[in-house]
Amino acid sequence: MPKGKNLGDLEQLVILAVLRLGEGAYGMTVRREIEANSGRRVSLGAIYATLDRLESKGFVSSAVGETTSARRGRAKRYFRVQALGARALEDALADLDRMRRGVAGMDRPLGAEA
Amino acid sequence: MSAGAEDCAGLGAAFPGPFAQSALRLFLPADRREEFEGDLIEEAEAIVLPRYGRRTALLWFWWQLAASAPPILVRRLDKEVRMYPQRWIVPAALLGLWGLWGFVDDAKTPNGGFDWDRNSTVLAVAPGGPADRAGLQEGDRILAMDGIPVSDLAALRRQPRTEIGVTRVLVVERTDAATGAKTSENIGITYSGLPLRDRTVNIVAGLIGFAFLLSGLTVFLKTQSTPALLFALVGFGFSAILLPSPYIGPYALRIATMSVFFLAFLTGFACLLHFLLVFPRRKKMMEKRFIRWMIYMPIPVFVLMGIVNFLVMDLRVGSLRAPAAVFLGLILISYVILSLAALVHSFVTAGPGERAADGLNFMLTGVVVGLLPMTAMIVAGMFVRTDLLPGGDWIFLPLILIPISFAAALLKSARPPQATVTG
Repeated sequence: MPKGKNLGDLEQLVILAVLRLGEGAYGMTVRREIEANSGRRVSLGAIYATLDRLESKGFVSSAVGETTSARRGRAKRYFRVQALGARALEDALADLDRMRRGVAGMDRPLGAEA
Repeated sequence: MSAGAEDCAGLGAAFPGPFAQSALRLFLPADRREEFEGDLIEEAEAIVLPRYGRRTALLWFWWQLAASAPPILVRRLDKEVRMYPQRWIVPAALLGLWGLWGFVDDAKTPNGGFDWDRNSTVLAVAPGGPADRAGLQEGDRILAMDGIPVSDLAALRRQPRTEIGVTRVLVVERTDAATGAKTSENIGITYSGLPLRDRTVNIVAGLIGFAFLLSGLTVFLKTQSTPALLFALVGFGFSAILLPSPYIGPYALRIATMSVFFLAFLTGFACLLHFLLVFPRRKKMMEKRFIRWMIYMPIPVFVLMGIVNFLVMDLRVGSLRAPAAVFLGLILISYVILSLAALVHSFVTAGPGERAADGLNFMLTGVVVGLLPMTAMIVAGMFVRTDLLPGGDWIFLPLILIPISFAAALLKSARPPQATVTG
């Protein structure tokens, strides 16, 4: 059984957000990135749980960052996508692409009349 | 200038207050609390506050806090459980001991040999049993037991269980079928032990319960995958209801234990369905959060119904009882049918190599052989009286193959990849 190799949809979004944010990916920015781009309202806790799970699978790594006055002196934790995570995301997105290719008239929006 | 002043003030020096701090302490692990607080403060003050004002920012902060607790707690629990699988031995051993105690107690369980319903009417009298020998008849209405009127539920519930050999005097009202005249009679029932049939059925159920408990634990100790965790939970839930439980004297404690065991059983069914939807491969439908919620939805519904029943209804004549029983029946049947459908779907969509490598052959054989005698009995029951069929008391025993075959499948599929069949 492929143990935890499949990515859930929130996991995919989180990895994509971390990739988009580059150097500035930490809990709050990841949450905002997902909400701004997908409209999906996610609690910070769900982001933390997902990042923690991705980290324990070796898909992302983290390092404690600097403290700022905007955070009242509390440190950040920055995340980076690891090679393993990037590959898992590639696989998940490729699966979707392959499935989508089978749908008639893929140049049109899905479900539109042929 | 004023904006700058507002920025400096932020949500006030006392934010987040001591109350929020202790709320955070409740669910966040110590090593992540600082970052989490920092993230919340930063977003509330730097983004929400300037855009929507102070009140919304505070509301937003608290809403984030409340919505964050469940996912973080689930994640922590999940991690904890997987990190220390051997800790599961302790609750499993306790449950096993509880079952053994139940077996011992079975020998002391008194049996009157009659059933009565919510209206205190005698529904059935076992032929040759203690009630039959005392002269109790079907249709008799019980008015009092040992001098306590049946209308006094509180007193009746607090009465300890009788013992084998003790005589309990019932006052019953009997209606003459021919004349319609009502007579009152005193009937002294001397309680005996459980009949052999009941004890056999208890032993069979207990054996299946132990099989579920042990196979769940064995698999989970070997591999901590999500399916293994779910199967271990199935083992706990089913054994909670299948193992015989000892009699508990105090009424409140008895009801509390029964409720916990019932919820464990219901959770077991939910986990069984979840397990078959993710093993050997996670089905596409499980990606929908709605589906994952639906699997477990009956549990909170029953908790709520239980609370309502306990608070406002009478437990024995409560009007919620009949609908609750029908609802429970529907839920359990749905769990069974959906679980079977999930298993058959996995089998049908898998290639022959996958069937062997993932242990699907084991699972389907286990389920078919396990359910066959019961199915045969039900079919035969359409034509003959099933209590006349030989071995009827042992008819459930083949169900023991289900936990064993599932455990075998999980262990087989957990083996390193070189053992899997290619092509």
